[in-house]
Amino acid sequence: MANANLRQRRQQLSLGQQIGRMSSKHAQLKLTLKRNKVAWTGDWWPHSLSDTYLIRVSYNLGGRPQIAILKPHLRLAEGKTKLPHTYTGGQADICVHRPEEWNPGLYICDTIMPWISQWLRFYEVWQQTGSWEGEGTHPDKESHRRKELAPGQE
Amino acid sequence: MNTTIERINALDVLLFDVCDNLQLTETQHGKAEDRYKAIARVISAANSPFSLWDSTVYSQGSMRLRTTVKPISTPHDLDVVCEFDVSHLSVNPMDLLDDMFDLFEDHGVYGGMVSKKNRCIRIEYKDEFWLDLLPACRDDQNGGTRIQVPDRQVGYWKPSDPVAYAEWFKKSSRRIVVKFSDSRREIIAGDSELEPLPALQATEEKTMLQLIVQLLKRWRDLHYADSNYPPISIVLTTLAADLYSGEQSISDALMEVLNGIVRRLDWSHAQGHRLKVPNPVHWEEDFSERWDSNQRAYFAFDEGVRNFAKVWREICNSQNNPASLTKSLFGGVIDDAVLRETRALQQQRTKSLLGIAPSGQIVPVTSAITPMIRNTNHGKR
Repeated sequence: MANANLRQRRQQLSLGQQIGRMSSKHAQLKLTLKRNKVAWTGDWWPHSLSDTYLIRVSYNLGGRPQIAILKPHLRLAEGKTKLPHTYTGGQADICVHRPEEWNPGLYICDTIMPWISQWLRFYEVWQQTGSWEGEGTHPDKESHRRKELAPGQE
Repeated sequence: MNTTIERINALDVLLFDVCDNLQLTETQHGKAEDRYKAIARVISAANSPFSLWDSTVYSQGSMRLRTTVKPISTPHDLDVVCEFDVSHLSVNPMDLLDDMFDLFEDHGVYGGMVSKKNRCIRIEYKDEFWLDLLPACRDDQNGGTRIQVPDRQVGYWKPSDPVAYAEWFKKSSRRIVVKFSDSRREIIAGDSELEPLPALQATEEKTMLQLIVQLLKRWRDLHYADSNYPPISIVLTTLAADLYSGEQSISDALMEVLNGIVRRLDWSHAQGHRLKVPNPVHWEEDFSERWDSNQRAYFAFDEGVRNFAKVWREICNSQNNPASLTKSLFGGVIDDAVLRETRALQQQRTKSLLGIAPSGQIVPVTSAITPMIRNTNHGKR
């Protein structure tokens, strides 16, 4: 129930609120701010047995946070031709949630950031074994595709 | 949060899963016991040439020590001793081996499944394993649990004492028992004399030393797959048991044993001779004597174990994904262990038991700054 309550659409949070909460929890992330757009860039270590990644989370007020894995270059699992659970930008735009699971009334820090850790760990295991062990959906379903094509519009 | 301790804990769980995947299952173990009991019945049957001798059949080697490791391309290899309560001085050793072979070769069930080996006869089953059956006689000259076994190469008897060796191995474990809590995905090391916590009673229990021996043997099977002279199990087992001093982390204990082997190699070479691995219960016997006639095998061991120590140190001390390095040491079994670990992680996530630390590291929710709420990865698989 707590999760369901957390997801309820709330009043849009300001950039100031997002920035304040992020800097209080992840001080290693460097902030870049331009009018209604904010980006956090820095090291992310998702698991005790993981590599360290350089990530950037960009957010246009009211839109969908965009997550880029800047370094290292993500490798494909043997026999695979595409990174799973990404938008068309590949590792420059990974997809960690369904459109209805996030809205601008939620803190990026409390939702997107843990999901990035989880996505990266599942990616590493996928790269090693070829098996994606996280829950996931397929965007070729019409409903998903429509929402995916209009990020930030949900 | 101490990232080094967290990493060692995560490596411990990974290694435990590797070992769990390598050993005989309870079902296989039960089947092996049934089979050697059946063998005992054949030996003591009225039509057996040994029917007038009292005999005891018992396991030795990895089955007795509970350090079995599934070979990469062959079935489990289990050793069983058939000890006759008769002095070896009154028995011809080669006749004993041949009579044992004939008994099983002429048997309605075992005929065609038997072959002769140096000190034993091998019974090959069509499924998971084969049994090496070592006929043995009481050693009246030395007494105790000591036995004498026939050896084809020397055409005479060789002393052996699997019971005393197993006791020594057990004492060497310092009684550090590893209990694994599957629900909490953590290793708990403790003294075996303590009663386990009720919640842990159903979890796997092994001594730390048993796990270390399994890991060394797995590395051996992989690293020396193309070699005619891989280091033998008794050498690896004895070195590990002798060097293990009670570390309570699998990763640290493995490092301790590897560093210890390298130190002994260096010391031996500084003294101008090769590493010797004496039988701890009969010092006059050198388990590593075959290195005398095969220097190439010795150099390969020296080089291999030094590299193992170097790679393991790197894995423990770095903050990188150890997938490729661990796979180079233990093979594809690492993938199975990683999948098992990740599925457990996923289960914990669905129960809202996970969160993240400031670094982004996934940790138990109790030590997290942010709990992880449910989500769905979206996009093409």
